[in-house]
Amino acid sequence: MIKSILIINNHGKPRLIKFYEHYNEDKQQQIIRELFLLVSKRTERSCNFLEVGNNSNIFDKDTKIIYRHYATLFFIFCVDSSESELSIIDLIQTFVESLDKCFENVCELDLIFHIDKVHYILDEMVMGGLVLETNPTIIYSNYEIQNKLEKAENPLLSGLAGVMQTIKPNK
Amino acid sequence: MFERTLVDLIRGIRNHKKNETRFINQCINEIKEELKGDMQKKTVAVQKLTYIQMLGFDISWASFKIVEVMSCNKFSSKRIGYLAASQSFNEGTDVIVLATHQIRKDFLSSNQNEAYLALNCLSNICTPDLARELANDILTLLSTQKTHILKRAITVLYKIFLRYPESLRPAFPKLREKLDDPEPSVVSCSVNVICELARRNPKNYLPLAPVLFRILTNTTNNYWMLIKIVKLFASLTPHEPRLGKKLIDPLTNIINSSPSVSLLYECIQTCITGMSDHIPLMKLCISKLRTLIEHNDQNLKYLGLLALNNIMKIHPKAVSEHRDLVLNCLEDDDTSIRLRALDLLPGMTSKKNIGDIVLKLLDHLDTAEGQYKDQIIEKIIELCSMGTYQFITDFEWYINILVKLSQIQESVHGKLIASQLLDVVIRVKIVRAYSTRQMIELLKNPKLMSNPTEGGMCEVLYAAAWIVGEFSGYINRPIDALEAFLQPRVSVLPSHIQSVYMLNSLKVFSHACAKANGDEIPSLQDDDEEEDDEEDDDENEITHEIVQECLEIIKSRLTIFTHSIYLNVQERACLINELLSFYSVTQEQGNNISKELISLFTEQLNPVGPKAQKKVPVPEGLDLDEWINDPKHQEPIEEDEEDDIFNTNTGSGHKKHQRGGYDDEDDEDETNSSHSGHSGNHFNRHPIDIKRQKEERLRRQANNPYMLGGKVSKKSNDSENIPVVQLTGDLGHLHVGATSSSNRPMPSKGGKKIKKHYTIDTTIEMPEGAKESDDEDERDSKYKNDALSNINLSEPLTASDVLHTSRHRTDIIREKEKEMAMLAKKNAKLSPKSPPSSANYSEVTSPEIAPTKKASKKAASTTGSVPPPTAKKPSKKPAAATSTAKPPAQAAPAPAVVAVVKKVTKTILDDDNFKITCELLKVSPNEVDNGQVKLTMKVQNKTDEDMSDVSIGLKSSPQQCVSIKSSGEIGVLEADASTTHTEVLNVLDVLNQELQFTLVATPSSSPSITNQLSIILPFSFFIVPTKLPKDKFAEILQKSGQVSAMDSTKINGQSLTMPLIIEKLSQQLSIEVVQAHPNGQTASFYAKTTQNHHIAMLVKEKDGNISFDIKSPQSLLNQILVKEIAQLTFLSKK
Repeated sequence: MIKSILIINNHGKPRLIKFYEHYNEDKQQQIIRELFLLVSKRTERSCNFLEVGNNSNIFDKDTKIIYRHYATLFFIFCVDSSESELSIIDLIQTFVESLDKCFENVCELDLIFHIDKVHYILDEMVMGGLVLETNPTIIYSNYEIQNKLEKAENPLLSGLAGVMQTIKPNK
Repeated sequence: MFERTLVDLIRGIRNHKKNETRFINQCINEIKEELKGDMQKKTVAVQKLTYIQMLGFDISWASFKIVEVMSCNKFSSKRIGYLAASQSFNEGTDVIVLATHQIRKDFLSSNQNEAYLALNCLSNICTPDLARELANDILTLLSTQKTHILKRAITVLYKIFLRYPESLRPAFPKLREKLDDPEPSVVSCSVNVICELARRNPKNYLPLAPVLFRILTNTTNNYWMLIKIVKLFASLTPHEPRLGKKLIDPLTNIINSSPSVSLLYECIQTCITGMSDHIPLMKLCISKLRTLIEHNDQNLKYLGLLALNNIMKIHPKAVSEHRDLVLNCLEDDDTSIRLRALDLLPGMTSKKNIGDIVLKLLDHLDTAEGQYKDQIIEKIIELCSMGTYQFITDFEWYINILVKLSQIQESVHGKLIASQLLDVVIRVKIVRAYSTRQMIELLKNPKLMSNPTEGGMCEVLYAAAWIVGEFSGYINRPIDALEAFLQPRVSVLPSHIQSVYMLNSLKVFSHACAKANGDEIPSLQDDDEEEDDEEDDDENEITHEIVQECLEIIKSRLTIFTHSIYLNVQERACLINELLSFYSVTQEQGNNISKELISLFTEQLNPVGPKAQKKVPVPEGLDLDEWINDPKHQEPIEEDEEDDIFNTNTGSGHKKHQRGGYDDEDDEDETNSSHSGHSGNHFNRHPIDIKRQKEERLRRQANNPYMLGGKVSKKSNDSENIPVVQLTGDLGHLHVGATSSSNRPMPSKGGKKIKKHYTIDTTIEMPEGAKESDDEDERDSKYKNDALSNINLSEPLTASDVLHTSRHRTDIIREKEKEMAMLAKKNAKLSPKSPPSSANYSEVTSPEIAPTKKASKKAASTTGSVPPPTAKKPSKKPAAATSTAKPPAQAAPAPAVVAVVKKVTKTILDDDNFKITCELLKVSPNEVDNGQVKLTMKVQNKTDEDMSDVSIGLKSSPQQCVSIKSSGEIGVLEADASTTHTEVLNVLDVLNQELQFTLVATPSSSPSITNQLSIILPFSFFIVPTKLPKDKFAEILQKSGQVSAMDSTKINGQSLTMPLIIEKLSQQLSIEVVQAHPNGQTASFYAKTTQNHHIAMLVKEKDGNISFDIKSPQSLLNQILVKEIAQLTFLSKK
């Protein structure tokens, strides 16, 4: 099972957190810090897996950390031994591709201002820690259907979103 | 006022980098206001809260508002609400119950997307309550045709099982069906869920192997699912060896041909766990792993090493061929990869290459830093000490390596190296002389003493000092050693190291004296041969002048230590000081006490097993937790006691000097008395006093970690028969503890002469009576105690395996009212209702009715012992009573119903407090209230105290049964007394045979006790004996839906004729025959439950095999019946 999915930027700021096991807010932040410490030390040449070690008091013994670094963001997945390491790497790729389809050349700012959308896309891909769908096209189309529904319901809001899109480059 | 949108909030936070928290708190206050506004405002507020939660702020206070937004009709608001719930709700969120209904409603929403939201949210926030409430709804969703909903419903099932494990058994068949779904993504989701389940209890899923095997061989491109299936097989194969054999071909195929590396890798992992004894396959795996490790991709390299490590645990030889590859990985830039390569080293090492490998690792040490450095040190020591130094051929080399390691700065492994040094020197006698010389060098080395910290590298000095002292017989120039021991810098070391220095300087001096006098040194006797070599180059004999010089050095330098701030250092320094003064005095008088001095240190030491202390057997009759003396009496004698112990134990004047330092508050008289030695008052004490003191002293010794009880050391004398165990623990403290107490409690090992070079002594000290087995290391698996993994799927479903169904309160009330009305009606009429028409009765083969009458007596007693496995022998009295009750029922002329009044007695609780026997009686004068059961519980108080507030309450849900009449609360139940509690129940749910009660009682001296009672009703209690004409029977069979589910069971090897079967079924289960085939081999049966379920059964008898085909409206009902039939005594006994 996937235990948690996090997106953290190069400075350790969380851009997305999704825990499939319950932790309180303090513990969540502690995990974010710990993961950032681990991940930020790695060089680009290093492999994408991290050992938690037996003496960690935050992570369960049966935890594998698999991450990928894209530009300014670390995509970090904490999984247990029932997940395959290489498929999780592919899954991160799927996630990024889906985000790319949705935002067209996704960058950190997109994630910052549209955190809810990122969540919705993630929910199409992973559900309660189990992988639901791995095809970026299907993920995107499902997400789009829901978005259209939302827009139809609330034309004003969609107009606002359009304005947002035009503001974004200046920011 | 204009509210901030989410974007405003995010901008604001970005603009307030310096005082982010303050800004957010301000926003939270605004949000609290907005949450009071209309839905639009609430939605935006909740959206903002979700963002704030990510930054680490608790938003649980807004849970109720989130539920409100979730329940909004607008999809966009609902979506925001569900997201907020997913992110912030947990088991502690009390408002979750309020969301239950909303979630259920959204499942069935006409807008499919709302169902997605609800399902997704449930998978994140599922609590046991939610799972119980919604399990049924999810199962209903499983029959949907909409793929996307189906996929989500399957996935959420896993969470339901996790939180509500009882649902697994009833729901599993539906999940199993989905493996055959035509839609691959649905199959994939099911595989996903089953894969997770199988990790917890693989045995349950072995029957799925054929299906999974089919999917594995028929799927080609869905790698995601294939990986999961292969992983699933990895958990199954260890439980079914035949499965492994079957998998060899397809897996070999995939390994050879699959373009997907991830699939290839998982196949290899599965092969390693399940098929490790298939050598060709393992060879293939290793060769594939080699290509992975040689690959440029760091990830593949890492995983390759990981898998290779798994193979190494099984086939170390096969892996050791790839030594070059692994050693190359030690050069990799990536620490993760280097660490994995380090893991593999133990399997790569042999006598031949250990030197090279260790040298290579030492090279790495120069550049390594941080954690990696420590890992290398650890690994070097692990490699060298493997199998009690089995690979080491040259121990001088190893001592050098350890000395080199001790030069590493900033390592946490000082203690490890120290314990290695001690261990090697103790076990390998021949290396002692060499190491003693090396250790003196080490002691002189200023590097180790710079910046000493406890637990740091200076710990090595502790071992070095001990070795030099203990084996100072090998020292030619004691002055060197003493100068090293007593250099002023020593005083900066941690106190425990200084203490060792002190005592060992005395050892060195003693040995020097003995040598100068030409005394025989007992401890070196065994090592004579080695010593011969030494003496050849022994040019400078130790003379009396040298001894004198040593004495001067010690005396002049000891002063810093006699004034040490550490008590233990000071104590030892003073002791040595006094001893040496004594030595000088006797020397002047012309007596030489060197022999006496050396005799203090002659006994040999052996390693002590790490578990030796734990394994000292507790003497018979000794309870360690019990007070030996009542704690109250010890206070008044505490003070003078201290001095007495002192006198009796040592009686030496030296101590007074030390004690004076910190025992100033001691009464002057007391000190005098102790001074005056053993005279006077001490001996005049009352013998009882002395006895008491002795006990007291022994008790104190037992608690004193520095005292080693006489008994223990005596017991361990028999060291020849001791089990040999490899020594792993840290030895350091044990040795020094023994040495410094200076009365060596450790027994000597019989002196065996050692002739071979580098003999490693692997014996360790263990107390007599220690068990050989290491049963104390209990490995508790992660999932052992979790409810989901304890569920067994292979058993057939029983009545208790039903999903919780919630009904509306008013429904339940209405039903109760109806029952009460019926009851009233019945009581008014008092006459039995006329039975269903029996016009065609004659067609039924009749002989079975007569025997039934005759056997009724027997039947009553047999049924009692049939269904529940826990049932005790039924008492004979009730049986007799039943038989008398029967004739009237039979006498009823027209109906073909044989009303068997059943009675069952069993013990339902027997613990320390209560014994409860219960008598079940089916009250069945007529059909109306056939579900009525009279329950008589005999409650016996087994304790010797009175119980108050004793009550027995019905716990089963009102849907299952309703109490019609109850004898009420029992109240006070005196010690050893018993009473009866009766209850008349109307059992409404045939499918749940279990009745649950709660017994509450308050004993006079302890808090109240609660016991759960469970009574399983025999199924026959629910059957209304009905004779049915065959045309009616046919009608029931034809009407679809009435008896839609069918199940079969078979009982072999019985020589029963059909009439006998008919008779027994009627007696024991109240199932009546409808029609019997003239050939005597087939008969059809019919029964009706109290809830008007029709049950049709076809029984065939052929060559001693009897098959039962059962049809009823519900499969569950069939299963219950199958179980009952299996338990029928007449079938199983013969």
